[in-house]
Amino acid sequence: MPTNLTRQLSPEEEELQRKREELTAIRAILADRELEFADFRNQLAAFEGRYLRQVGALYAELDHWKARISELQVQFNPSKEAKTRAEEARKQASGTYEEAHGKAAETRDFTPSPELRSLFREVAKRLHPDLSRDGNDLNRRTRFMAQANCAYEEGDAEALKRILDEYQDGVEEIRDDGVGAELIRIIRQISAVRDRLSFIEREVAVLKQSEIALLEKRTDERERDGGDLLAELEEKVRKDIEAAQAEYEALANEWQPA
Amino acid sequence: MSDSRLQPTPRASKSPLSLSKTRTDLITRGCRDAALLADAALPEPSDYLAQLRRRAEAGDSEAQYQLGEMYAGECKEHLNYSQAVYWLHRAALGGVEDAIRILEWLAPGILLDSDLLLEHALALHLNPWAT
Repeated sequence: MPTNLTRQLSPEEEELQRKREELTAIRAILADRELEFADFRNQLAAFEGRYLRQVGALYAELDHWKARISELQVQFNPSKEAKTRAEEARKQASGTYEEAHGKAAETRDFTPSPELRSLFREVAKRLHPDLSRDGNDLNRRTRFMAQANCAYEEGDAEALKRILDEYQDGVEEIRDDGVGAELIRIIRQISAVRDRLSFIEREVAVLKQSEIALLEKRTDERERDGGDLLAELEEKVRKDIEAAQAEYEALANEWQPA
Repeated sequence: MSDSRLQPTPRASKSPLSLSKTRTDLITRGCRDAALLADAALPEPSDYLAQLRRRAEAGDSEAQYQLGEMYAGECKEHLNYSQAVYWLHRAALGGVEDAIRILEWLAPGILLDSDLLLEHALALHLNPWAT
């Protein structure tokens, strides 16, 4: 007669097993969502960089000419209002210039390799702060995850590998706190992951409604129709600049200092 | 100046709402000008109608459906029951399922039949064979 050597699991242990499986599954989902979220943000940032370089810089030039016109108008009419207008126009021109030529404009196209994406997914699955066991673990995970996000943005696969190794080296032995304590911990982790998933969903919805996302969507649609929206915008703003330059020159010719 | 890039962070603290005011203005200007360009690229309504009619007469089922739908009342100024039924009938015979759905509502019990369509076309002084 065969002897069944498998120990019968207690109801708590069975529940623990179910929760472990649930956590494994939800961790995989979270890793996928984090990857999609990072891709979306990075692609949007890359588009923003392209827009700022191609069109934003021209708006800055346009604002510069508008400021010059306002400053020249002060020569004709040195009223307080005219001076205020000129100051505001100059301030706007400086602000536009700084933004159009700032760090955001340096963001280049984001085209992660399959290896990089796979590495980032692995990092998100293993190091995610919402899977922390305690306060110390949370701090380490948060730090590593922030580094991983930067490495992914910069396309640095080696850095992602280092982060995985460094984190693994610092992992403490899993303590045997008993079934009850582990069950509570896993339930909390599942709950934290669910919160994070909801957060990502909300953030993606907000991002999709942002003007930069809508502009990117329009650009993609235009591209499908065989057009190039950014090039069309570029052409329009260049014409506006030409008109502003002509206006400035006409004013400058009119102005004869005493 | 602060670094206001769309940085990925584990808590995603930098949502688009954290963009600086000036940069948001720069993007708003692009959106506004893009909308202006799109409006400028739109064909005149009369040109659009003429173009649609040419395509419909040439046998384009989708154009026939759009024309029929327009005559069915999508736009008040073009409301015309006979034209609507005729063009939807042609589109339905061309296999556009949505045209059948609207026809069922517009002309319940109508037979999808080429002879009937011909009769209808002659009554409207239209040439169903025009290409």
